[in-house]
Amino acid sequence: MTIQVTLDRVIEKRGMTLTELSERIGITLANLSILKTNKARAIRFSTLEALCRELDCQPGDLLSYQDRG
Amino acid sequence: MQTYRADRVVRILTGLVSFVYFGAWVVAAFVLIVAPLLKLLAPNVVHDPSFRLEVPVTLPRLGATVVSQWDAAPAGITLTAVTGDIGLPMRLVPWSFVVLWTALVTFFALVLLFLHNLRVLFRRVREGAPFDATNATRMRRLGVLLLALSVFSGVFEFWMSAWVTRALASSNVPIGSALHINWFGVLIALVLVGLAEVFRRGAALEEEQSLVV
Repeated sequence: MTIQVTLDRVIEKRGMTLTELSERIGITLANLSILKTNKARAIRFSTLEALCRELDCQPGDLLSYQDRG
Repeated sequence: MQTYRADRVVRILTGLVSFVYFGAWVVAAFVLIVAPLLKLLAPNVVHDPSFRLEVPVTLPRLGATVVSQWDAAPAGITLTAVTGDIGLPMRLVPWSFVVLWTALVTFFALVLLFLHNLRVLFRRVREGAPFDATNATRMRRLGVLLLALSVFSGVFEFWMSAWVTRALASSNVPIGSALHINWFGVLIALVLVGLAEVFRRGAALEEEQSLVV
């Protein structure tokens, strides 16, 4: 996928663990892992909103576009 | 997390299909192995196994109108076709046993494969995971097997009835031969193949949905 999720970098910056984040936003650890490992096909606005709220960041901090052309 | 519990109807149907599947294995083992063995070991005790064949019968008054309690003046009901069963001993001619036994093996193989696939499909539905790619393939297989079963039975019985008609041509038995394809079975087979494609699309959607976070 050309859209990369940079969740791991933001989590590291905030000094938070994936388990802690999953508890805070109410999303299973399995789903967060799918997101973190770039296996997700789509992300809900509600998930993005919860991530931005808990990690105090913007959607652009979590996603990046990489042109593979 | 709440565990999935299947609907009662699904559970009953799954049990019923399993029962029919194992019952079919028992019948197949008896017809294909036990009965011929018994005949071989005790030829005077066990009757010769026979093959039941449905054939059209020609009656002298075929086409005549029939008087009924609803229609005193014969005008409405007409006798157009009559069919009957003929029991063919499996040891009729030297090769007939091999041909009939092979036909029965093919028939039971198709039926057992059909029931096996149906049973696995019901079990997957009972477990709450009907939409996967293997179930779509399984459903298509059910359609193809049903189609093969309908065509095989029709063609084989036609071939057998043609052979019997020729063999009995010099006798006064008024039977003929006709090709009877189970069109209802063919229709159901086509519906199953069509549903398999719906299943395949459902499986793809479910897979995609599982990757939406």
